[in-house]
Amino acid sequence: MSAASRLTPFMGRPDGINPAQALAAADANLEAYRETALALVDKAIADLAEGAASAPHEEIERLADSIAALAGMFGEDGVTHAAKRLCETVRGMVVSRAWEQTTIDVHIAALRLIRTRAGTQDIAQLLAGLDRLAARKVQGLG
Amino acid sequence: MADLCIETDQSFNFGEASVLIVDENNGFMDIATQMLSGFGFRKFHRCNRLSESKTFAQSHEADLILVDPFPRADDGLTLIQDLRARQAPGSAPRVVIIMTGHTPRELIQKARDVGANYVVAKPFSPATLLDRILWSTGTTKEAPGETPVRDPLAAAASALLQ
Repeated sequence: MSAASRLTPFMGRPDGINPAQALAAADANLEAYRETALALVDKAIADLAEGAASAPHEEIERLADSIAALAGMFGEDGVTHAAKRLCETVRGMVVSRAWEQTTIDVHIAALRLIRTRAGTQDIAQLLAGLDRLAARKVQGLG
Repeated sequence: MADLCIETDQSFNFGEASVLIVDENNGFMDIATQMLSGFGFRKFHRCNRLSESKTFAQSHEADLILVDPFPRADDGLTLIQDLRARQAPGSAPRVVIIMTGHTPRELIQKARDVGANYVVAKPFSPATLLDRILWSTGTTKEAPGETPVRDPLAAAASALLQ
């Protein structure tokens, strides 16, 4: 048994629900939020596209982090993948003190492309390219 | 739920439990709120600034705390440390879950040091969050034939670092 917590007294209370009911309700709530979340993703991508050239790296990383977290909750795996690579790339560039705006722009273009639903094979190739790019930046090779 | 320890015969009513959610990402705070509402939580306090959450935590009690320390990880961890330090001796501990898109080994180690119960990597499923919450209550039985998880944070770190 794990240690008790402040949530322990709420177990077994009257008018409770079971895990299956809780998960079904949570899934329904999330589904109802899907469109709002994806609109926030699109807004963040648009903000990146408009402001990345002049934005501090913290802001680019914040937007990419937000995109990855929100898109990932709704099965937008390609967007999540590309946003995480953008985060890694930014951090790699900051550590190596070698900023390359073109590389940032490529990631943002990829995010926009994936959201417009390019073909699956195209997306796979695109993400593989971002993986290679991010790896080079993290290792300070690029 | 294959990898989780949720037991279908448990029941719970979290309607009176208080929750503090700290995340600079308002959209993700909405998502966490939606999930927890599904689990039956009703009393939420949400902060999109760590400074705001510290002020709240000094004067209010929360039973469950979800924190994304990004991008000021050290400040976020200090919040957890302060909460743990103010816990009355012998009282049941709050449940503290760090939710983050960044899971470097250093962060996980620091999270353990300051007293976080779990680290969950964004994005995560409702089942993952419910599993951690129910496990924290101490009412989850160990499944026969399985190795019990004695240190959930260490297990999370192990999974995240694979």
